[in-house]
Amino acid sequence: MVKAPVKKNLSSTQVLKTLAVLLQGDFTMQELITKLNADEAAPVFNNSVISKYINTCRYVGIDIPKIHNKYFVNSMPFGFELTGNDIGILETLRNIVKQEMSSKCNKIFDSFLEKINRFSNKKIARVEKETYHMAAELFELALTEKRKIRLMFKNKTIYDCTPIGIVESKNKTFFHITYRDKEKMIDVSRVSGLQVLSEKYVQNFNEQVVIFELKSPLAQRYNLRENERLLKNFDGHSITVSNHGEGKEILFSRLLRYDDKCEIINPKPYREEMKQIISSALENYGEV
Amino acid sequence: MLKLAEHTEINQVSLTGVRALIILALLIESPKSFKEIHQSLIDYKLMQAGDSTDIIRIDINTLKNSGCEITRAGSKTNFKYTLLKHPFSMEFTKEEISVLKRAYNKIKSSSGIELMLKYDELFKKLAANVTDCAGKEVLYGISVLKNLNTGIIKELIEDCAAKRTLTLMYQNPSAKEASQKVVSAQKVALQNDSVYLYCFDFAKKESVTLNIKRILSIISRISDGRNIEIKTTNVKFFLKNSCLSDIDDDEVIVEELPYGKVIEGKYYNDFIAMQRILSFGADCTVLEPADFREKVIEKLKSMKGVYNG
Repeated sequence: MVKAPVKKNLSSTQVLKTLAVLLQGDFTMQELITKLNADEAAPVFNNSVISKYINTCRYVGIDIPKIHNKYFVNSMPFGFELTGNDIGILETLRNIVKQEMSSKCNKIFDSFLEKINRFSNKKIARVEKETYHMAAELFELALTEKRKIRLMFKNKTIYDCTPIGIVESKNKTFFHITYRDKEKMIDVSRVSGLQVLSEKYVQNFNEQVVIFELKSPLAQRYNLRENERLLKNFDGHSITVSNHGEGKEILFSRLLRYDDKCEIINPKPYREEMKQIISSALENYGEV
Repeated sequence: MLKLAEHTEINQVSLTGVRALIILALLIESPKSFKEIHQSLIDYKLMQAGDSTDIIRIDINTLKNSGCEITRAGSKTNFKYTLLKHPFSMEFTKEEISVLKRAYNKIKSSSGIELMLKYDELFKKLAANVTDCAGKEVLYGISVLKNLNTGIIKELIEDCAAKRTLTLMYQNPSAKEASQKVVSAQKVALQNDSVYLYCFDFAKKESVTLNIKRILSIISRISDGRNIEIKTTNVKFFLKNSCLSDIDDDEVIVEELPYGKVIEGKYYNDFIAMQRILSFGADCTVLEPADFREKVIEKLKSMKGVYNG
């Protein structure tokens, strides 16, 4: 028996298609005509048809303004409600991105906010695109192009160094670098200038893996971070964990908290450095 | 409930299109039965009671044809249509979520538990409004409270504000079975990505920190308003200028020196104090009290033993 074709409403299909295309971005009428007709056997969308469908969407409360000749979905009633708290939180996050991240990150976050703006019923203030943290932007450029950087400190010291990443910790931003073969975390507030040098570097320090052992009882209750993997399950005594790419100072500070229940296994320089930190700490008390 | 524009504002609309959008909105709100959809369309004056209900079936087919995944209204779904996926929802890119995560990670260490609960709610709300399963999971995963029962956290915050005495079942990591504890709730705090209840343990007669993840249940709450005086662990220490860490709220600088500063910290108990001091590594020297200084030395010797063994 031949199955009867499923009945559907052509006009509704075209309204939904118009809405789906409008949700992809901002388009002029001509762009909408081209996009909507792209997969049609014959052109069915013209100026008056699209206008009618846009009006249909507007009729149910979908806000579709036309600015600079472009139509876009500003908000949808069946999006979601943002509370005052939510908006405050998003504003805080936006300010962090604006003040402390590169223009690329700003652009990405703008796009994120714009999507939330479209699908939520309350507006979020637009991010001013011209504001960004210049040093962070240059740092990221150096990383992308694998070029060394020159950090000029407020106390006139100069470091020609290799960038590793920008690390946020405890409300501060640090340039994670290697200088004379040693990893360092430089508080950005100490830096007065940053220059991208023409000299390239080859090593990718982001891949630094640190392996450490955690002993009982910490081993049983340890929560793996997202950049960590369990190398050895709990054997009644300990677990072994590998940590990828965490800033050294931050990692050391955390592992020190685990006192004698933690032991760095690899890499050897890290193990030696931890040993040195403990010995130096003991020397503070006159103990050798 | 959608609010339709006045006809005077709209000179030309597709009424079948309006019906499809209304049904879409109804299903986004929650699963609906055929009867509920029918009644809503009558309420919106888009149908009359005597109209053929086939119109609704055609509209649902139209939505399916436009990319909506809608279940059958059968016994498995309590005779309701459920919208599983639709092309009109948010989808975030990996880069967008990554920047969001970076900004959140920056703010979380300096934010209190109440604020973290609000972030958690926002991430859950965003996740609920994306249809892409992978995106949902990543959004759920950003929050530091992702695997915790936020309901218990909120209740405990209230308990602390009211200084209640709680009887709770707690799974001590070193014990095989959970045991009962009677404590006076003091404070809920976020520390190293874990949430702790700072409280006074009546059996131990000392202040303790309990990982909220290990609180299995709260058996009873008594609002006796008992004011327990917490004896903090006060430590005076020297911190070199090379140390990157910020001073916490429970620490004050008592003296600035050329190469560092003398700080006095008031910590909830010895364990918290010890963790804080050790985290400074060789940048820190405990000055007072002598017995705590000795404990730190012993701990460091034990740590050194780990590497020399």
